[in-house]
Amino acid sequence: MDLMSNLALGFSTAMSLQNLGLAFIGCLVGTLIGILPGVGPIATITMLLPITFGIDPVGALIMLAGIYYGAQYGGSTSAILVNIPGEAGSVVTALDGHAMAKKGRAGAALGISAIGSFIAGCIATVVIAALAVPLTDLALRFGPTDYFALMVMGLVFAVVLAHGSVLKAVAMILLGILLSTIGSDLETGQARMTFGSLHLADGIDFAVLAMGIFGFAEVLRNLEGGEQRDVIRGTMGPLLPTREEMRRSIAPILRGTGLGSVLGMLPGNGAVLAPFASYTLEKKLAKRPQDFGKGAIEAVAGPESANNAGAQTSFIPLLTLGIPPNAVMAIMVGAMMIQGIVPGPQVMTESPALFWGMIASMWIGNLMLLVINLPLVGMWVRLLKVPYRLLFPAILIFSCIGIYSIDNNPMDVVFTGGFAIAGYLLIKMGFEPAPLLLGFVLGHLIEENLRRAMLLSRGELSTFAENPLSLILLMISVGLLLLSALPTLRAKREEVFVED
Amino acid sequence: MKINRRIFGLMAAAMMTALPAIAAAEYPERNITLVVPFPPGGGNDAMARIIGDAMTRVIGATVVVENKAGAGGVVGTQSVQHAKPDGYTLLLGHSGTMGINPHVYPAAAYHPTKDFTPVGLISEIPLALVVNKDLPVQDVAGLIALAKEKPGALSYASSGVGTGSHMAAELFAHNAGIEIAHIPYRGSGPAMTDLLGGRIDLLFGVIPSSHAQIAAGKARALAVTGAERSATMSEVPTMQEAGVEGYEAALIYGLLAPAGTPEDVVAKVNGALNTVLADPAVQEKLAVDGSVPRPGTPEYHGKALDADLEKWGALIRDAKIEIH
Repeated sequence: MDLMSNLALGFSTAMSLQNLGLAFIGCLVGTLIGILPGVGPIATITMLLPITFGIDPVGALIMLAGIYYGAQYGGSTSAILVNIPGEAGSVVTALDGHAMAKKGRAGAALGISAIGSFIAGCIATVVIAALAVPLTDLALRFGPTDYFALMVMGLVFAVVLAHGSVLKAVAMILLGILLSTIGSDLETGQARMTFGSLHLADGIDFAVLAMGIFGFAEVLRNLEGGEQRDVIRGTMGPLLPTREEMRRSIAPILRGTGLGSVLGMLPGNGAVLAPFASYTLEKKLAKRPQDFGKGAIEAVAGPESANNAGAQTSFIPLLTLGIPPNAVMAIMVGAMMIQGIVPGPQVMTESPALFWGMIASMWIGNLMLLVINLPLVGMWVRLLKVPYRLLFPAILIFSCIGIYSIDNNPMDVVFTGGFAIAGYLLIKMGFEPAPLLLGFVLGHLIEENLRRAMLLSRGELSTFAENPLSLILLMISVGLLLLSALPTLRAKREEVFVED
Repeated sequence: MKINRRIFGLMAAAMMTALPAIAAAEYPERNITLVVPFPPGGGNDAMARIIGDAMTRVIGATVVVENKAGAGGVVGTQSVQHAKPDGYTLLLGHSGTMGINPHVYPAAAYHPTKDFTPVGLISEIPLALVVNKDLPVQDVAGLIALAKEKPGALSYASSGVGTGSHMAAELFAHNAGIEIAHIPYRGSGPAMTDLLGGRIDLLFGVIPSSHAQIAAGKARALAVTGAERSATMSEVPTMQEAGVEGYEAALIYGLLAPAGTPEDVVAKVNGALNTVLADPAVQEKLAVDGSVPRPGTPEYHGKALDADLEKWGALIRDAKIEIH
């Protein structure tokens, strides 16, 4: 068995004392930095990249991968505890995770996301080891038309994400798309809606927007009255998920893992959709969909698993082609180059120890995360018992540090403040921020892939119909939209989903 | 503290009468910041870190790489333009930021040699003309014939408007007199993905990573854009050998300081840079990105910068490339 001998080589590489230590340090440091509110994996890896320069290539990449998983997990922790997502993936976690925290089930939310991530990580590692090469060629067939159709379908998910009025959700999605168009035009280089400011030339950073309209706005809302504070300080219940919660979470974890694994391997950053898709799926399948948005454990377990599986399988294009599918992987490519490795398909055959060592270390890293994080759950939960009048200045200060450290740019902090006020007003008027963020994230991808598809087809709209995959995806989206627009169904939907 | 140290330095210098210039003997007395106008993790960042790390061991002060990304490199470049000209703030500049941006970004209102002091050329990065493996052409002449047969039907990918891969392709189209459609991507990774996927016909890519795809049989190279063949793919002809007259497109990389930086400081940094570039270990690391070291004097760098600015300006004017 080739696979077995390859995996044996991988584990013998990754299990060396040095590499085990590096994986551990990577996971630990990644978790600790990633927990800074708003600091997601990209910012964390960027900050910690230089510490890997003095290490041999295999060790350096294992450590970076550890930092990546660690930061991803740390990001979920701050999303659950203080409602501040550091990257697109944890927006979904923030929805029900934070709601669980408010209900005194922060420990369960943190625990299930650690367990779900671990299970997803284990399965995704096997997928990568066994199927990376054949899947790569399949994923390459996915072109701009297909990405466009897939992202449009993602927007339809955004409607499901909201639990209030459909009209308001659509308005938020459109606002998000609009915000995503700020910055230089990809085709012409023209500055759009920048008001001549160089600061806006690259558009708005996701973390700045998310931290403002989610986290800071949440702080403002909490400061209104004493009610919610007491809820957070209330009884904690059992620290970890109960047997009943575990039972409810298993199926969502497995479904999320499947979705995440498939979307993650697309070289065009399909992983970003994984948690949203999982949330939508779980809400459709749930016995009590009205609990979604109010602290349903399935809504944490599924998306968290999808996110982690997607994060893991997004290594496939990097490992098999040397092509980074997203910003995090692009940093990994940079790290490889500094180590003197030309990223490409030859890494697999020329440095098998590196290739299989990385894969083996993914599993080890996931195990370490579980070992590091389960004991920490108690500590994070105790943090919530700190009186809010002491907690909120700390949240704000750490958030500002986090935002500033992403780009060393004070303007980012100012922007976050602006978005906080906007976010607060939106919440007061019954608009939810999650669809806005999804619109923002997908806006870029939709625009770029639409225009690229049009350029490649020399302006023929029929390109979307000629391509079977994009045609099917678009038809599903239209179908879903029609369903939600039908008056009878909408009435039922509103009856089910309206809050208060 | 600082005064004391200076007095001490003066005393030490007075004791060692053989020392020629006190100022140069003092520099560097603290960390040197090397600004990379792009985010960490890219080719520019890798080069800066390799050079910075090696120079730290030669120059006697730590060279700290600072990433100031934004607006296609304009933000970081301008921050160095307006920094104190004391040699403690250096810039990694290349054809994109110094030679192309001033023509395409209204905000990039700087001149590479008037607003900066050239310190020394680091390297040249030639590109490779890579085509989809199924494209029915075997050489550059065949590609040009195909493009002339079906004007505008072939698509080329670039890593963005105004990047080296865009300009190299436009220069090719201009010199060969053909019409090919520009499909911009964000970065070279997604561009290569669509070439491998068969949606793009050709692109101009960095040699080593292109070579990796070519060696795996996923793409083919028809020519390299430098004046000489590349050691990585020595069987591939240069554009001129392949019949495109006057074609040369290599991206130049160098260290710059703000205008008005003292000559002795520039000379010291230039000396350290050239020492580092002569080190085979550094050369080997730089080669990962296809860099061919081009050590030389600050004047040599200045001439290269002026020529680069002129060359891309002429192309943008003559080929009427519309940006904005």
